[in-house]
Amino acid sequence: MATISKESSMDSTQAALLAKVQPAELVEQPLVTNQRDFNWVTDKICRVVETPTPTWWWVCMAVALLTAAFTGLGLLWLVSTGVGVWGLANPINWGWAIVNFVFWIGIGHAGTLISAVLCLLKQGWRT
Amino acid sequence: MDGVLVPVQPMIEPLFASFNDLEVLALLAGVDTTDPYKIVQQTFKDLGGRDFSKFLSDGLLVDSAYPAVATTLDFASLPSLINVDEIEVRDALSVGNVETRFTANSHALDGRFANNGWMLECPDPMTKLTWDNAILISPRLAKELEARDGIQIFPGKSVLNGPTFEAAKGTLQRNKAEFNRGKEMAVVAELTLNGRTVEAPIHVLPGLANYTVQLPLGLGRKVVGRVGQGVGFDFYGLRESTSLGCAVNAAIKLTDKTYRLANTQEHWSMEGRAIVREGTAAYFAKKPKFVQKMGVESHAPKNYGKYDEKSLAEKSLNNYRGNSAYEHPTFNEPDPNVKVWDGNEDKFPKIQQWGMAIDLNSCTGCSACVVACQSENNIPIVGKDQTLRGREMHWMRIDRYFSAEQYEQAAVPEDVQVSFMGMLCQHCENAPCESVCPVNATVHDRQGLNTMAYNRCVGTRYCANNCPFKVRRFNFFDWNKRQVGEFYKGPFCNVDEPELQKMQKNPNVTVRMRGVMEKCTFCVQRIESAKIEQKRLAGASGAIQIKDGTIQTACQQVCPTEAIAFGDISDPHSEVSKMKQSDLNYSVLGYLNVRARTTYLARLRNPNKKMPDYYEKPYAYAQYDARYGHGSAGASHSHEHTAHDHKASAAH
Repeated sequence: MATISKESSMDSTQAALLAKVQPAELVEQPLVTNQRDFNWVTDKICRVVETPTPTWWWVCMAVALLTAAFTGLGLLWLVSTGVGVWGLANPINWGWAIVNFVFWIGIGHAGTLISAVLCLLKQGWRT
Repeated sequence: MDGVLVPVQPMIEPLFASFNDLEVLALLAGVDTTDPYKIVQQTFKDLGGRDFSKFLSDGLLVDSAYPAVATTLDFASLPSLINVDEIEVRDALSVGNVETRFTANSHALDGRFANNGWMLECPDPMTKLTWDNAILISPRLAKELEARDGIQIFPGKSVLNGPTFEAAKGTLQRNKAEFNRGKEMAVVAELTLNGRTVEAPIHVLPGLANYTVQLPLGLGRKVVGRVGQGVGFDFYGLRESTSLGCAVNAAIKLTDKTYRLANTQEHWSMEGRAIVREGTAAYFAKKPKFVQKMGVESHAPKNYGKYDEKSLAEKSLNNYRGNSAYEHPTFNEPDPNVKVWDGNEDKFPKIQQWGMAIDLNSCTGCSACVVACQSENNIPIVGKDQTLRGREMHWMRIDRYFSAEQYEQAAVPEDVQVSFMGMLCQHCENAPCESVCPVNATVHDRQGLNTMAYNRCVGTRYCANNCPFKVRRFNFFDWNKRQVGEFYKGPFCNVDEPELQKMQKNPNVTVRMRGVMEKCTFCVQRIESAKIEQKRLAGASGAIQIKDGTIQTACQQVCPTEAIAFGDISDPHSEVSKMKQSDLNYSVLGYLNVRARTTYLARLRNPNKKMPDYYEKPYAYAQYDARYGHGSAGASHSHEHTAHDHKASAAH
């Protein structure tokens, strides 16, 4: 009973406070503007998956795949031939290898740093 | 020499079903029987031999020497017999009228070794060029040609060497002492002699006479085997029977073409550092400890600290920590830190400690050791393209330094002194390569050897980066199974070793595969076979100490001047110990406290006071003295300092 009375007293103070502050009314924004109907919405969403894929998409995909294939080919060449393809020598034993290593390590460290800062500042994770 | 007949056994079965020399001779002579064995038997009988098996077991035919003849020599008539060919010099030599000298090439002699990969890849002792020969010209001629033809010969185009702010201030000089990472962009010149012209790259070699160009013969053969094809330039076309050795009135003209020469030593100056330590014999007689007072270590506390006075044998066995902050491994057995064996030390056989000493007085830079090591240790050749990239695999290299009277980086000196130094794995007791290996692939053994476990190596190349002497070599490709020129083809080329190459390999040495590090092992296979043999000889007696001189490393065995000594440094009577106890003994980069097992004996020159080119100090020493020594501006203390003085001043 004590807790309920406390809550009701909280409600009364809150109501009093709100009456004093008079916050602005939050108007709910319309989800679909311009008075479009459900037919338009359905059409918009389903057209992407139900119409045939356009040619420009295939062209872009091919370019992207070709670019990505360099990684695979590079790895294949590297493994079948040797790290000599990186252009290293003695005493420059680490040229490309260390640049690549530091690049990825750098990305990893940057991510860790940002996460650490956010964690220390008690930011909520949005996942 | 005195004509004693000896049997010569065939070394190998005939390759490719070929004929041996006896068969060829028999065919040419039209002898009916061409079976070499029968010919040998018949010849033996004709010579009056009776017991062929005795001939074989003796190894010589007794009393078959030439009879001695008594002669007299008339010394008075000797001068008239010697025919001196006068070279007619019409005009004084100048940039427009140069003298050419034809010399044998260090790679191929007169051309007979032009298909030998080992020889082609072995750097020329003076120029350090591999896989090529070039027109060698003097710095003076190069400067005059630059001025006359308006083409830059000397390297020095890199950003650091350009007209930068630092260069303008004078703090950074145009450094003409180096090539760009082994890629020497040589200017191609046309050399015309008696109406015949040869086009070849030029290489500036300090020390050549001003208007003499040297033409190393033997390369540039049109028809040659697999590896020698397209290597080098042919100067035989310029040579005439009247001028076999040298000729005058040659004209040299620079072209705007360039040619890449694979040079294995891009920097030829010691920059005044005490790498190769030199002095004169007179100076050594006056100051016998001068070698120990050179280099950074002479100005630093002793590496061994309070143990400095211990003998070489004790130092080698115990590896005293001295002033180091780190614990050092001991080579003593049993480990004195493990107390469980206390009182039973004598039951353990003493472990021999291997070390090497190289006498720089004897070294002529001939590079025989480089090829001997290559042959002993199954070191592959990598070809010109890979040498240009700095991936040559030689476990041993000969560093050649030029030093001039004036320390000057901005110009290539004309009059130089040359110093050679064989550089191989120093087998440091505190090896920097070992502490960085993440997989313990390079470790020390109790004999003081810095060993490689190829099976553990994953190829991080940490060790090579941490090696101060840069003697570790990495298998960037599968050198042994791929052929020169096909390394980048991956699986799209022949991926097995040719039969001939397999036969050439030393069966006692691992053939390394792609992705592992390798380096000098002090010929560990020879050490191990000597140990096994000694154990067999010792039997139950327990005398398993290998006698001094039993083990010879490949480089030591082949050295024509016997500059290299190898043996047990824990034995004070071994040859190597005696050399290491010399006042001339020093470690290269000794201040790093890596405690190299390979040490060097400083070179003493003995200039003649009556000669016009007499010098007080060798140029290398003078440069050291000017930059870092007691005579330099930075040093305030006097020349007469001794180690005791240092101690005394520390005590005050």
